[in-house]
Amino acid sequence: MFSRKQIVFYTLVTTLTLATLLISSWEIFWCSHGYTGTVNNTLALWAKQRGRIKYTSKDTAVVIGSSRLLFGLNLSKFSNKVGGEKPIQLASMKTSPIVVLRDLAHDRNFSHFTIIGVTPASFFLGNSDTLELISYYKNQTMNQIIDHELAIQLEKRFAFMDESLSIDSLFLNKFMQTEQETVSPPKLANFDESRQAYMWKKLERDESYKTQVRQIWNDYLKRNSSLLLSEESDKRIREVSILVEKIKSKGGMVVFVRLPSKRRFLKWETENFPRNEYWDKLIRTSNSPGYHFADFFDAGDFDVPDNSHLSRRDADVFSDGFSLFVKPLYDNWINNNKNKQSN
Amino acid sequence: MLLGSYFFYAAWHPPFIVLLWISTASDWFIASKLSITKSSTHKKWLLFLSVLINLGLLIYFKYSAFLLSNFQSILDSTHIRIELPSDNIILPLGISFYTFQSMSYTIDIYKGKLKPSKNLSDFALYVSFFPQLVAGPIVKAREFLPQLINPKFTKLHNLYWGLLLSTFGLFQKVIVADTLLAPVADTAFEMPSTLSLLDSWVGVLAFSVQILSDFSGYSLIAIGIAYCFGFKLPKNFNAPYSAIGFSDFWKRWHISLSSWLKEYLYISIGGNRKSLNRTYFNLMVTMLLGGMWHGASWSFIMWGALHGFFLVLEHMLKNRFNPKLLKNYVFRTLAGLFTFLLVNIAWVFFRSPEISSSFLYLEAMLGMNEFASETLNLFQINVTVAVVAATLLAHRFFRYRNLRSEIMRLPSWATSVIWALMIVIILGSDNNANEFVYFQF
Repeated sequence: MFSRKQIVFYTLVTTLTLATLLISSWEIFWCSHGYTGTVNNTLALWAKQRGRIKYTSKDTAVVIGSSRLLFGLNLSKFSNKVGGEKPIQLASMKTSPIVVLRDLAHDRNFSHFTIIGVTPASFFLGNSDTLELISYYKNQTMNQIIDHELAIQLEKRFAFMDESLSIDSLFLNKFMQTEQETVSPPKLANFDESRQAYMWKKLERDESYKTQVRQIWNDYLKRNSSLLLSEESDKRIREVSILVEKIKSKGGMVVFVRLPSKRRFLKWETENFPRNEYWDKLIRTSNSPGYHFADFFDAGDFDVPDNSHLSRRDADVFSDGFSLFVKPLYDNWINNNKNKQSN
Repeated sequence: MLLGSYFFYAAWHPPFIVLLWISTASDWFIASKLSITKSSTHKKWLLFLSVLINLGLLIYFKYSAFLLSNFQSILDSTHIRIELPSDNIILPLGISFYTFQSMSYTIDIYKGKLKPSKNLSDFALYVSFFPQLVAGPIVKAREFLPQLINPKFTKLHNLYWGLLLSTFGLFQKVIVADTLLAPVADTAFEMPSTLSLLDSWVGVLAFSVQILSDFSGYSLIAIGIAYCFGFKLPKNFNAPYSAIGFSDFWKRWHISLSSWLKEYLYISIGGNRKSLNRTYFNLMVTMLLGGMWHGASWSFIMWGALHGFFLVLEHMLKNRFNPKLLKNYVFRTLAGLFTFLLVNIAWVFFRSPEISSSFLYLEAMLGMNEFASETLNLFQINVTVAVVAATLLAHRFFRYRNLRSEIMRLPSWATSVIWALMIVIILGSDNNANEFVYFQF
């Protein structure tokens, strides 16, 4: 007969052993399916990058936009080829950059070199979910920061902590979402601490997974097949131009960039957002330089596995081309700022 | 432990630690004066000072914006053109809890129920003890201070029960409240004007178990963590959805608050010692203030008023029932379900962002929405019904039972399996858990 103390001890040990075995099995299962440790793209991760603006020099580029810019711009390559520290990545999945742009334009500390990604639908029409990002950043507490730093250490080391493998993502969200809600692709990328997204290898190599993700985007395009746009988008262009002017008046600089899309996505964007009425109008009205992929490449030059986001290899290729374009603008801007300071 | 608790609190918003110190220091000095003062008038003034400081802090941070905006509405309605300042005041975390806790110390000393603590650090730890600082349970000084007489050491037995209770609490919060029910309740309460009859009932049922799981989950975590350090905190929930009548409900829901309000407010203003009408009045005042304690909005006041009304009604009717009927199983089951129904109606006011949307929601619950459409899907409805049914059955089971005794009856292998599964499911959930609902109070 065991004493109460022994029962307690054995129960604790059994529980820990069983929990460890179950978690290890879960971890091994997901590793065998191509998952690795990855930093989750959370509000706290975004807030940490946003907080860098206060402490980094103005030479550091700041990147805003939607998910294409998360994948398509290799931050390390950019800083090596153009200059400055590793850019501050503030682009966000499935959203318009307008709220972040407003926040930066009104920030007295902000006069950085700014790269704004233009994904037509989200840029010209999207009404952003990024309010939550700004609110989180402004109200973040010290214990949330500590929690985030601890969480990252675990996330980097354990595949099962990938947010796409949570119970919510695997099971519940599938059933909890109503017809009106957009179904999100299960997993597109791995992230690092600087919010650099790397397309998930399965999406680059696995044809059936590629097809699944493309189908999700196709359903999204079908649901939004005809959009009444012009007034809303004109308002957006005007507002963006005002905000860009505000950044420039503080000594900052803005460059717009349009990353490649392909096949059905490209067709839909070309039909619904004709270049001369949207991109060209934006560049003209804001009086800012713009890098449109079609001016330098054919769409066919790129591997865009899900028709919307660049593969890792071609993100490097795109980043090289983009950096070549930006370098003289960046150098000119730095020199102008230095001259202003010495005067 | 004290430094750790201060660091824990300051990690949220460092300047607000000063408020905790103000409450602690003022009540420490007032209590020490109370214990040596002979004059009853002087004692009354000292007590009044303690109440003024604590309630003053609470009223300023929690209610000033509400009072100002309502006063502005009155001015606007009388066409008096005065713009009052509208300050965005941050509500300090846990202020509703630690001010009440600190006041209970001075009130108990005033009443002679407690001798003042000889050690300032003991008293400071009582006020700021980190497991229960931000969302209770509201612990009375006479329950906590004696535990500080002997030094505490973590024992295996305490660690076992503490960790088990905390795991169970975390499971309730992360899985039941946040993962299963919050999405359903949030969806339903977002657009009450287009809710169907079914969706509105499913939504409020989801919220009823969400708030229970969230808050009782937090309480269990607090109790569990405290127990790991050798401290016993009082139970805060006792199968509230098995309650038969509202008196019974308030002996089971947020027990630490209801017992605080009963002892320091209801009994102090007369309780049931005077006339029947005075008793009803005292009940209403207590519940109205209890509603206001939760937040500065007419919705919370309405919620408190409804509970007060149901309590008064129960008092009026209870002696009209045949005592044999009150012991009848079928009657008690039906009465319990009816209590649960009325609690849910009151929850509509608690959850709705403002009072106008509460009435819209109630219209939906009566099937009066002309343009009702399907908002929730079948999976959400099934999950909610399953969780609510399981909760009601569990509460019925635990009505006269104790969680700890039931766990001790299980074979240890079963405890291990259940515990390990809870840990794994918690780790496998979305890491971005929602804030505890009661943190906003």
